[in-house]
Amino acid sequence: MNNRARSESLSTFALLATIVSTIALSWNWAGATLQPVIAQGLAFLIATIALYLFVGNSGIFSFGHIAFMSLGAYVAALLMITVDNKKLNQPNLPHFLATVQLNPIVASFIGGIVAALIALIVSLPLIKLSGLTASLTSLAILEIVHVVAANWTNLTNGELGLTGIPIMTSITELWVVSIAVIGASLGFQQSRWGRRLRASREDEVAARSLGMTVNKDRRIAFVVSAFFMGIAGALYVQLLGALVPETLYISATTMILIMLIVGGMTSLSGAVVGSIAISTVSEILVKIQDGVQINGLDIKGPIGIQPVGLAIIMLLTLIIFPKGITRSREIAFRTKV
Amino acid sequence: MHAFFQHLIDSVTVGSLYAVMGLSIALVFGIMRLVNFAQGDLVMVGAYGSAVFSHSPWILTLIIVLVVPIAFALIIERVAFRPVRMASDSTLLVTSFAVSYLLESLVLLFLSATPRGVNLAPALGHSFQVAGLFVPWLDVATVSSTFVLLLALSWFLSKTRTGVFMRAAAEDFTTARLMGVRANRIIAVAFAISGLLTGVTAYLTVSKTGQVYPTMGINLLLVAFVATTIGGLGSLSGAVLGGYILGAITIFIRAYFPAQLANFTQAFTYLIVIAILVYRPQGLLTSRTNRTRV
Repeated sequence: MNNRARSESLSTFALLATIVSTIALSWNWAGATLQPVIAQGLAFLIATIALYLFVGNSGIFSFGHIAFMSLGAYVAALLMITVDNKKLNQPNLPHFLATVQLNPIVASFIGGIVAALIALIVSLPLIKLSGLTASLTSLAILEIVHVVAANWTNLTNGELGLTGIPIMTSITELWVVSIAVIGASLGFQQSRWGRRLRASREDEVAARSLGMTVNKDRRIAFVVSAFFMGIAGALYVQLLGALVPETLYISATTMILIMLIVGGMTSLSGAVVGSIAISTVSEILVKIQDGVQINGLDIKGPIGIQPVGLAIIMLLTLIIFPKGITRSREIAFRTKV
Repeated sequence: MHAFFQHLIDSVTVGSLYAVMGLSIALVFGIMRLVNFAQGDLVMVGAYGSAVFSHSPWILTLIIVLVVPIAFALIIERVAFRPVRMASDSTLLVTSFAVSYLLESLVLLFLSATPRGVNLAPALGHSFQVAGLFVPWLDVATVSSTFVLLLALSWFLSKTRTGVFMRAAAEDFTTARLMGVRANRIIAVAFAISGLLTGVTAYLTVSKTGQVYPTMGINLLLVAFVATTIGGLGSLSGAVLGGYILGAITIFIRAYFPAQLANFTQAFTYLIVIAILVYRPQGLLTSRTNRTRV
């Protein structure tokens, strides 16, 4: 990498980190209604970046990534809930899980690791498939994880879900993880694996003919992305305090896809900008749905206006500017050559 | 042995439904490489058509259920898919995902999420006995309408001018266009036929379950995806074969699995499918056009 490229990518990091830090720190001054919005927005920002790490670099769409978020969430939740609480609500837990109680940071990390391990196993068959077939099969993985979460009652408490998950009291973890994920993702796309993966995205046949091990690079991206997905899930449940199988299923999948597409599918800045933009718009639509007063003027939209609005935004983006808000480029201070 | 034959009847019935749905996906995919997520929601809009007209004479209801998905298929083709026709495969896929999400949200906005009960064809609810096996009339209707559709479709594709154009377009779209095949017309015809197939699925599904709700298409859609992937994306006969295989897997797992694992049948079905794909990543029958040329 030459110096100009390096300084450009450093400036991208600085810009994205500044944007995210501003939002994260504004949490401290935000009111009680806005705080959860910011926190959940950051959790989805991490998830969208994780999705981008695989989808944006490899060009293969995955509809199954929320499965890894769900895995991370369940693992972390089971490790975090207090022993007394587990005794009360889940008498049938395996001995080890029933007696363990870990610090949220350690639990979240383990959640990420478990998600990554499962992704490694899943990737063995999945990565062999051609692009479109792989996209469709990834849906099967979302389904499998959902079925297991809904029915393995001894472990997940089924549709009743887990409760009593320790609630996060500060924004620090989310902030630190967001910055770390931005850095890691930027580092990955500049690395030799990332560059090879991007080459295979543009022209798979040409990349293979140049001796690139496309499947191996895709697998690396898949596992790394699942790791961050798992962590995002682990952090997300600490905002909700409870977890049911539907928490991280179809609607969450739709959400991160919209964020990535509206921002710009093939750039990290797209993932960041898209998730911030969609979190904001979504919150405004929810407010309109619930009814809001602005300068004494009552605004109240019909129930269901939020999903319709997001769907229309997604569709119009794809039709009118398929490259998204950032035109799928990284934001940076560019020096003239 | 007796139970085995009963399960066989069930799997042929379920397989027929899956095959029709898979066919509707494969037909459009063959021509424009679009895997249509919104296909499941076409089932849903057809089903809502039946819910609105459920007290009309049955023939009117049937026509509504068939016409509504065709109309919607043509509208979404014109509004959403035509502008992105030349985009990459993934963009097409995601666009159809957006259309699907929009259709579901619109139903939530204008109707509601609560399931509605519909008693579509009470006459089909009865069953008769042959050699000790129970055969519901609905199963007979499902299997026979599938065979009629398959015969009609293969006649259409091989004997009519438009059908031959469609096959040519599926083989090589660019060359077909150079030879004077009209792209817009052929794609519209493909969407109309897939809408018709979806309408049939909607009618049979609602007759069976008696329920209509916004996300009812998702399960059928997943099934159709899986059927087309194991059959080989883009291969029409592959989609039908995949549908029947999947039907058999689903029914037999449900029948012969230990009772305490009954809730996991869906997960096991998908695992088997992934296992099939490990051995045949291109699907069982690969269409000539979709083979990767390296």
